[in-house]
Amino acid sequence: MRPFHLFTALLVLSVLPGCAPRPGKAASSRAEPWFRDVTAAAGVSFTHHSGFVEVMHPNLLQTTGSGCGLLDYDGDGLLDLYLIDGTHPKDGGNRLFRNRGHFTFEDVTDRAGVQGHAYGMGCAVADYDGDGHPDLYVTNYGTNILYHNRGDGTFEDVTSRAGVAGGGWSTVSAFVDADGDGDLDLYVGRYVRFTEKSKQLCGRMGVMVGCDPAEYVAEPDLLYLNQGNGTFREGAARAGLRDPNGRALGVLVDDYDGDRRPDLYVANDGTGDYLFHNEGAGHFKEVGVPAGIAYSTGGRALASMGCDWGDYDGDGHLDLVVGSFDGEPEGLYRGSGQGLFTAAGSAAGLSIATSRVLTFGLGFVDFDRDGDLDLLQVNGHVHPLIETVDPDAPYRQARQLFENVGNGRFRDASASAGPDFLAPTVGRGLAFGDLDNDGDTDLLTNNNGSPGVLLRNDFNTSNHWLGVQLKHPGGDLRTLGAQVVVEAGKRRWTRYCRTSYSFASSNDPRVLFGLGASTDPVNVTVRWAGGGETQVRSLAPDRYVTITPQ
Amino acid sequence: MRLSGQLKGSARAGARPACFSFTGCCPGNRAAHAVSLWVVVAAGLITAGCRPVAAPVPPSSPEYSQLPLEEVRRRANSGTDARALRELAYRTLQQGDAEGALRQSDLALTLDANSSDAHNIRGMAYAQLSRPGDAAREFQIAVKCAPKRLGPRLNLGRLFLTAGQYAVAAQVFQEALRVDPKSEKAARLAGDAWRLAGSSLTAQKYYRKALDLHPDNPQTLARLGEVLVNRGRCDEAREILARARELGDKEARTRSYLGLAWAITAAGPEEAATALEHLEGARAAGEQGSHVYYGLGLAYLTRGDLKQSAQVLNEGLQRYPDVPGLHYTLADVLARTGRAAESQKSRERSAELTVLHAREERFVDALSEHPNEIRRYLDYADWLFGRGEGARALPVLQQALRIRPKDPEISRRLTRAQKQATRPVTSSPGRKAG
Repeated sequence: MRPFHLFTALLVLSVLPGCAPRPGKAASSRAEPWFRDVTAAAGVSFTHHSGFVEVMHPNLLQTTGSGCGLLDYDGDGLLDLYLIDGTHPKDGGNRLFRNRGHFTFEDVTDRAGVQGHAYGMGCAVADYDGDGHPDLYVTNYGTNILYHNRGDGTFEDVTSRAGVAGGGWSTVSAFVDADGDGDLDLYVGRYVRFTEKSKQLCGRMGVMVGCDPAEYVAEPDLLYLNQGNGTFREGAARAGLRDPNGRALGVLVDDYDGDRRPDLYVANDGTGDYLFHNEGAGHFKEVGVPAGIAYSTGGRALASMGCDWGDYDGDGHLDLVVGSFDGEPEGLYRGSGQGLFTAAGSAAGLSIATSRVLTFGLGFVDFDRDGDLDLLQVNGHVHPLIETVDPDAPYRQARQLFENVGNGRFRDASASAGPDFLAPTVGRGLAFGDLDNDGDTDLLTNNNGSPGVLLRNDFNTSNHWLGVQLKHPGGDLRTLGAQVVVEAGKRRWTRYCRTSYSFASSNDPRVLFGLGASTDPVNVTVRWAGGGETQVRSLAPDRYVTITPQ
Repeated sequence: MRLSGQLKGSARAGARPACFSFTGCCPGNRAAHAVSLWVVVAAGLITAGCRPVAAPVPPSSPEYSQLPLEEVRRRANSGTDARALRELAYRTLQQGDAEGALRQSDLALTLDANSSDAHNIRGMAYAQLSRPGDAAREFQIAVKCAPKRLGPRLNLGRLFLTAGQYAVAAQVFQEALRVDPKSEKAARLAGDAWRLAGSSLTAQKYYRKALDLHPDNPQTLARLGEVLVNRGRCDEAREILARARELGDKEARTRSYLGLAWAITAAGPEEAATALEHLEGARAAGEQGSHVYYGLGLAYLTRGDLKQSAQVLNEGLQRYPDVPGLHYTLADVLARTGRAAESQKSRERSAELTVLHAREERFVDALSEHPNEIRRYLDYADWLFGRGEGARALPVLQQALRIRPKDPEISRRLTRAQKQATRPVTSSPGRKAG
């Protein structure tokens, strides 16, 4: 355990813009939809181009993307939207939508200069250089892009200078201080070696479909170590992040064993998932098998995709969820607290409801603010013709919302979420964030070959909440991965500040707590990444607070 | 993002012996002759054909099948009644005298050289004599003589099925289904072939087609249920397997899969108890597949009976030491009882086997998809040699040799595999169980 210091807390209480209840969001009964599609009304016009012309026969690349992101790029206290496209900018390109408040957005892509230049897959957001502005890293099929935020509403492509181009087929990424040297490094998950010369389609059940990823050689992941001068050097192998056979479609950074060092989880498609335990001194050890998360029930390797950590059963230990192929068990693993996990999909009541969907983006979220973590996921198949051979597995699939009902169990509450939520899509990216600062989590989804969708959380509840925004002089280095413990009355919650989870998506960095019916004053303890603790007492609920160490 | 089915190993482990008949292989049908074959001649190698037929050959007359044996024999002895000779040959075959059936069908062919029935009987006789190459040739001639008849096609498919050439069998049954789209049997057999080939999804498609044609066939329902369990569709599997049992399916295997479906989805002790009732019942009735031990282990674990779970999983592992699911579930049990080191060992073994099986499935899938690419046979064989399991490469190489006779690369490996096959086997680290 690393020693950490107690800081004298300096609390900056600030009610963020738009925090007041939205006038248009009238109290609704529980029979009303919990989520509404507000895409068009919000002025968000984006269609993902998957790039395949022969609609029925996309190859593997054309069926995989893409993700999306939420970031407050202009520092106005409102989360902006970033949607990633699968074509060259002249045919569409990635789009950045600035949040103007009250669920209205404007397309500022060209002004900001973040169109992308390749087949986009995902993004990660962090202030890697500590200048106070969130930067944007975009993974591509081809050269990746590091967009440095100039702080004036524009970005600069610094990829070459920084040395983080990657290459090949990068899918997911996350910022993390992997070597503990006091700056943010960058983990880049890559998928398979796939070129124009590769086999494009394979015959399955009499139809031509994109080939199984196992058809291609896996591409090793990368770890870009921040040199502290705006440049990075690749050092995955030296750090023990050996990736002989993984086809990464998910990456998480979290301290799963509570030793105050960030660990890495990598979700691999069709082979065992990795859990890289941070041994300190910049070295990792792969412990997926002994920890029990490499394989699922029956010892099967899942087609793992989007993923998330969270303590869904409230026992104080992090649990893991990972999306999987239809017909595979839900990759839910319950943490026992000794670095061990057991498959828990059936026991949690998820096995049947998730057996017919193919899940990409997903995450734990307390959508109803009752104080426990629910599970929300977007689904969509990879083969447009799947229905011709398996009528039970449609290409476009409904999203799913599993409400936590306590005792480690979920119930499928999707039907109550409303018709907009249930509208079938080819779901891929899913980003979680409070877009109107009203204390609940809204959703941004990116859908393969179809329009992106913005879903506003309209769940009507009198449950209380507290939002925590972390600010540290050390920047995101000290906030990402920080543990936030909230106590209200007799209840206690532990969450983490994180952005990279779900599928190839970046999420709201603020930590939102549902407090249930409690109106008691709230005590907050922040354990900063890299050490140090801040305690703040007797906060009033139903607001965002910004907590700094000094 | 795989498309292949689940638990392929289990699906293959569930192979049942096929049988040969005019009309089917259910008990009580006119013939039910299981044969044990290692190899068959690939369909494309058969060059013998039927002479041009002036008029369609009528199927066997029901009139003859009703006649007493003595009357059939009397008419056959006249030496001029081809139908009587065929009927006699068939009855002789039924009595287990394959050589006699061949002689009688030979006589029938001297009277009617284009008789599909006679060739079909000869095919069955050869199959009974463990001469699959000759059997395949006769079935194919029978098909050429009467392309619209299903019997020879189904028998040819069964021949491949029994020989483990599941993908080839599936093609034959699919062709039969094209000839007669209303043949429930052809659809069901296509489902069986794809299930055994490891393609649960395609198997499911054909079983559903068979059920469209005959919704209440408990046998089809049972197999569909099994496929659905392997595809993770346990909720539907539970309903379908229960329905199969309601319709009279008494097989322990069906009950065991019903129990497994409950075990996989059991969220608490009550559902686990239902699983245990079925699984223990099936085990008592003689079903001892690895999936039974896996289901029992899961169900006892869900019920919180760790000791019982560990016991049954260890029992399963004694029989099936290479099934990853048994190791994995045991690892869970051991972790919960605080035996971390043993748990880790079990997990590592499970992981090792999973990787191994996945690799082997890639080879098998490749052979199914590209049955004429010799390189794929050689790669598979080399991998088996590398694992010290050269004996298992024998049927793979024999099949390759039939596609490309006298190929020195194949022959060299075949000799090596034959040598290894004759050695006493003491262990097989990666062999699939069941």
